[in-house]
Amino acid sequence: MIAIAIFTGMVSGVLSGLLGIGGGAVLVASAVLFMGIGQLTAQAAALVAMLPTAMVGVAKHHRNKMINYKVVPYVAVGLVFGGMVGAFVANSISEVLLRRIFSAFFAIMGVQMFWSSYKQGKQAKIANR
Amino acid sequence: MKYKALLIGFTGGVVGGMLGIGGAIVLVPLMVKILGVSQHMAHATSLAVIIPGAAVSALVYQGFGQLDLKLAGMFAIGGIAGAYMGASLMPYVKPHVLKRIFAVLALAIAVRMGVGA
Repeated sequence: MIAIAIFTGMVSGVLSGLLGIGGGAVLVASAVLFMGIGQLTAQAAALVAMLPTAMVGVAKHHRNKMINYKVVPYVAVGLVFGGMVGAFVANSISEVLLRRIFSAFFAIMGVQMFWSSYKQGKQAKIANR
Repeated sequence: MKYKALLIGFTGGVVGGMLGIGGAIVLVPLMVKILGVSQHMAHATSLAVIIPGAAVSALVYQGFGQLDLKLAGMFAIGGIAGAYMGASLMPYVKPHVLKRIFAVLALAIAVRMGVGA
């Protein structure tokens, strides 16, 4: 169980590093599918698990002056309120419905990634010429 | 700008908190298109705002008795190790090929989760 949990975290970390996607979605999906963890428990754990990685990233971006501090306060306040609302909704609807919404989101992410892979592929071909 | 930024944050927060994903996937494109922040900067900035957003969402889950800190800790340890591995593998893989493989995988997972639910 411990080994599987660490391995699941690791796979999502590798993917998010390589693909530039948030590891959270991959983490939730693998926890539900391969570890048999409930949707809500998986989502709660993913939210906490992204904190240390985000902090390391923020420290690096801060040094490189890549963080736009003009928008941070507004987006952050909106995000905190939205995050509360979203979490309340998730915990209030049925877990089956939540899982369906999550899987629909995951499908959209897959389609979007397919699309961007084509654009990237074209650019790579042009660069190789 | 203030109201737009607030609304963008709120939208990202609802999606991120509801699905347990943080919300960068929503925040980054919206910040680029609506606020005119560069792609790279939007990535970095979304990472910064997600910290309070995800923490507050997690507290709500905790209130509903859904937060398993031990599980979160193991995910975090694996995630940090994985992020380093991913970064060092970067020069050896073609991202668009990997993306295509992952896209197929994501669709399969989506079907499996949606139908199995």
